[in-house]
Amino acid sequence: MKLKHKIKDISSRAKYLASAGILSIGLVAPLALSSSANAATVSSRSIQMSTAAQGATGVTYTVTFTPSGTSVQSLVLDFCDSTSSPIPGAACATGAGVPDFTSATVSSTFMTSVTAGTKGLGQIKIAGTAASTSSTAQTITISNVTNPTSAAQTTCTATNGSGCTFYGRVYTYGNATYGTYSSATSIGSAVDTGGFALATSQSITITATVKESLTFCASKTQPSAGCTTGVAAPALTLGHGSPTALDSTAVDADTAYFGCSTNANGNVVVRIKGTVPTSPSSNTIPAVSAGGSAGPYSITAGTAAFGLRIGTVSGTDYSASGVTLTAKYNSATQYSWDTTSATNNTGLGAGDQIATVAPSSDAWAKLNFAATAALTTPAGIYTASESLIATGTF
Amino acid sequence: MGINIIRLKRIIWYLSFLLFFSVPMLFTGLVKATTTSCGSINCVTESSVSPGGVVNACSTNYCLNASLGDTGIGNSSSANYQAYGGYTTTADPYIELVTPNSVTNVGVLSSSSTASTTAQFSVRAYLASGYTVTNGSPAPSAVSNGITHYLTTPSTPTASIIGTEQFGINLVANTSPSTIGSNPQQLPSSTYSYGTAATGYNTSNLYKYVQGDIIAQSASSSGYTTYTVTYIFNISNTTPSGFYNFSHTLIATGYY
Repeated sequence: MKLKHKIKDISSRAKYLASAGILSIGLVAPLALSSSANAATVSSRSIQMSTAAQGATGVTYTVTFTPSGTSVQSLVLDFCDSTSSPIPGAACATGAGVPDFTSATVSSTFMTSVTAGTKGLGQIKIAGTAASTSSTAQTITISNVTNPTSAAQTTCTATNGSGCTFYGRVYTYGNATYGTYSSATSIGSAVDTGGFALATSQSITITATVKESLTFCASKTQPSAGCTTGVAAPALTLGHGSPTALDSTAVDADTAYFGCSTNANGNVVVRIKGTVPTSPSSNTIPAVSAGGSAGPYSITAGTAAFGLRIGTVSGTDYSASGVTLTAKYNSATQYSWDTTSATNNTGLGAGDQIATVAPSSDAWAKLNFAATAALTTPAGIYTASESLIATGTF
Repeated sequence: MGINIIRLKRIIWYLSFLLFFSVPMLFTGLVKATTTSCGSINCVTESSVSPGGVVNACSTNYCLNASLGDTGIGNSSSANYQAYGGYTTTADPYIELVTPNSVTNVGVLSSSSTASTTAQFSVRAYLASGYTVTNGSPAPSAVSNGITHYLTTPSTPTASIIGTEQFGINLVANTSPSTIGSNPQQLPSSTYSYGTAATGYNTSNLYKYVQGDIIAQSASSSGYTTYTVTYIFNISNTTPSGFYNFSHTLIATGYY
């Protein structure tokens, strides 16, 4: 009887031991299956790209996260394509559907003297010469990254207009050699881990055209902006008395204006070209200072001469903005009428430049023409015909 | 008394047996996703589908999302937490930005009228603390006489002014300079999606554009929000001539 009880006790104890063993294995087995379960998770994490355009080069990735603690001296950033996941240690497909860090540079104050280690398609390793000492929010700036191309992200572009998601993972380590990390699926004993989702997209493209524009007019009176109003025929009469005539006692003058509105960002050059006053019998009143090109020159009553000047007072003699005068015509009292330089006021040339006009909606200048006759100037009706030529550079 | 002890021993035995086989399954069920390629469309399928799981069934060109045993679809949240159910949610952190593959030409600009157009983009993000969408591009530009000119952009919300060089956008419905644009649309409804136009870009008839500005955002995970961007162009008489090009790059950033 006693022997029977002993055998029963041994049998019961064996069952207890077996139960305890199975229970222990049951509890331990799941822990063995879950690798890297001891790493903390970086919080408040994001990766911002400077552009999300597919295939863009020179892109900056700004990685922001808050580590769980200090003493981090290296980290690994892995990127996996849209068929993968952001879960640290899980399968990670790269192909060409991930950013390329081959030419990337890195900067951060997270660790001391941060430098990039191994870098390439879908991965960049970063290490410092000393461990981090702060557990506050950190920023790592990775420059000169190439975004995944649309061709590579076939899983996304198959859907018209769809953007493409890909994933980033960060693992931090306590030494400068990335702990025991060996691959995206074997990350070793990381201090912190974290996953990110990112998305590239196609850009929205909009085009528009602005036409070249140049409005130019000559007027007896000051024209309005764009020469829309205030334009009068520029018929000038030089002389005094009644009937109006030139003589040797005075220098007689009259004025006209040019107006200009343009979007030519290479400016508009305004030139003048024409004749000196000429009578039907081909007598002339000569250009001031024999048509010299180094003016301005004075016109003295009684010495036959003809010339042009534009005054010097901004807002009175020319518009306050947009107009720059040529020096030989920019005088309050003296004149020029160049008949000698290559681009002179006469002949077959383009005419002599009197001003340039920057892009402006309302540029103008007042042109002062003046003449005097000598005692020997033949009588007659003298006429001069001048052309103003505006040339825009766009 | 002896019978109860025997029953207790049996119960312990059965529990141990059950625990041994069931606990590993609970853990491995979280990571057993495999990747397959379905013709021209790649999709993710699960090797096994448990209640609440997702499966994508694919033919050559189409994939079908299906779910098993979902008890509810949609969002539930408290002050600090947010949860999603239903087949359109994902198990991993996720962000998607969908933009149209389109090129729009607004034609020849005039100093006597405003040109405008619209474009749409959509964003969704899961398991995130939210997302932002940022202007990634400089203003429209053209090269004229070898000089690159960028259209002037208001840095504060400004009404459209004809004859004044101006490029701006907003993300809401407008009545000026014309009836154009629309407010953000939550898909399938505001119960699931929460994206909004950001401050500065959320006032009707006022436009601005600053590179680097956040133009849309959500303070939490969100289903699809479709945004309509209204673009306006005004030029002055001095706006340099040329073919202006604007490649609007949008940057969606998820916060986790």
